[in-house]
Amino acid sequence: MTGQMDMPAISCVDVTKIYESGAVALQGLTLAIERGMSFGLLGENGAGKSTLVRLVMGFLFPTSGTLRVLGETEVQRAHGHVGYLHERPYTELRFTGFRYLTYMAELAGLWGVMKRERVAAVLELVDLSEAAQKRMDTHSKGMLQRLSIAQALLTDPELLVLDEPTNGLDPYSQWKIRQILGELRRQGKTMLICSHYLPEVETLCDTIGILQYGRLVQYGAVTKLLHEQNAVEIVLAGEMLAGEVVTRLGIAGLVLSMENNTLRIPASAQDEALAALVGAEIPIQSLNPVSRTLEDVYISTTRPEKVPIQ
Amino acid sequence: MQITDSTTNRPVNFRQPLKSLLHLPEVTVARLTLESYFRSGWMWLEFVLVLLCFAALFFPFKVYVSGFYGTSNLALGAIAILGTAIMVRQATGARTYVVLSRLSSRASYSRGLMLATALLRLPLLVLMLLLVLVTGQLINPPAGPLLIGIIGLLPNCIVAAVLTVTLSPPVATRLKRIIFLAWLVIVLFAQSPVSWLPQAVLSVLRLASIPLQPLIACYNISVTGTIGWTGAVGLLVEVAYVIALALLAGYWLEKRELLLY
Repeated sequence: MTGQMDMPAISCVDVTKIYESGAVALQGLTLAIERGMSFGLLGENGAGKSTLVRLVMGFLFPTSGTLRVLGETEVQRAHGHVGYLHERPYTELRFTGFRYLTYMAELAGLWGVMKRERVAAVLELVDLSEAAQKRMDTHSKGMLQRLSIAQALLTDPELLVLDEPTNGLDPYSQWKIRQILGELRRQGKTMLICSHYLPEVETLCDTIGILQYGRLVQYGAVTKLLHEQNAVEIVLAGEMLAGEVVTRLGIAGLVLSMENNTLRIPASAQDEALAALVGAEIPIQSLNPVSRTLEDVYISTTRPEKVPIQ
Repeated sequence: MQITDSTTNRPVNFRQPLKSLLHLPEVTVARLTLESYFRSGWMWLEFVLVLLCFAALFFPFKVYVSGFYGTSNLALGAIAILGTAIMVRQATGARTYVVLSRLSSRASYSRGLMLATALLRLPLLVLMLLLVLVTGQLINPPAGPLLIGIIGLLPNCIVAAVLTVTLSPPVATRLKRIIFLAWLVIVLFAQSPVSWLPQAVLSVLRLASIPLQPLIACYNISVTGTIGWTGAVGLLVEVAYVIALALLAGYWLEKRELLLY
């Protein structure tokens, strides 16, 4: 593993996955998740997210293409360095949390003092030390999810694969899990997070990928995607109405939308519009890039026809 | 007395290899499976079935040791198959993904399941023996044949259980189970006294029952209370069966795509 430190944590080259039923889950996916990256995988149900996670964990095999996890093509060999959170907190509910984690630690090769210390440390981290001796069927869904995260962190893994980490949880549990994941991100852990909660991905991830019908249709740094200036907002000074100005200058073709004294234009038409306004000596109060949320990015990528501004 | 290593002149540490053995992932999977099976309550079904078999087969009549082992071979074998099928079903749901994510080889998982079910065969056999002994249902039970009978019966139950793990989903595909059942049909058909096929064809079909010979040899050990050279060979072949099935199940599970629900 040490000789492969320069390789991405997860590398997919032209990966295609077709199920026996003939359903195409992934088509020619090429993707690199660098070490230390916190990567958010977005997509609708059936887009191929869970398939990718199962490929990364070695539960499924690619139909074609090459997949490497921590440099290993036989990805199960990397399991000792990977922490996995299943999309639903399936555990041995009749066990106590402590007993369950102890078994998982032993399966991971932790024994003796190291096992006891790690189990205690992860229970402390997820705030479940006091509930550890209670049977898991008495736990809330949030507690089970935190326990599952504790399980994923047992070996202090290099890579975390988290499938829907806060799905269906109450606000406190969501907040708590985001705190834990935020801390792990600050520690420089590589994380692959599949989630439907876009604000969460916006907070926790530095890079995102959007899957649609098994294809990667968007990939990039979150900050870059959010601040991509594909539109600008011009606020006119004084009491001038944008509609009147646009009609007078004959620049309606450049304008995406307008409201009171504000008009939005594509970034590509910014120079032309500004030249027209300055030429007509129309005072401008401000000019700002239209900042987007991850939701805007997601919708504009997957449903461009639904978006008024592009 | 202390045993020393002649090359290093140091005391031989027997605890370290034992510790390594107990720390194998297969052993942990077996412990996890057995505890889960116990906590689910399904394990009790096997013990209840042993009680039922005792009540139905041995309680009304007194039997000789040979009769006891002859019937127990079938009864405990059937319990081994049924119990193992339930155990494997219990242990291969969606939660198995998390367990597998901790293993660097899926073969450890199938071997752990086999170890779990094999270990469970012993207390069930002991329970059956205790029941017939305590209630005095065995006629003149001689100690020798009684103990040797265990040597014949236990391997048969273990082979039945291990085979069940190998043929259970997700280890084996449906096609493999169908092929196995087809083989079983041929074996039974060839042994059937009402077969209308020509003798030559039946002789050929009877070749299909050759793999069962070690089980028959072990059955004979338990019934006769003597091992003999055929029994010894049968025992060795059964050990080979278990090893081969463990390797085969591990290979199949490694190669299968897992879609667990």
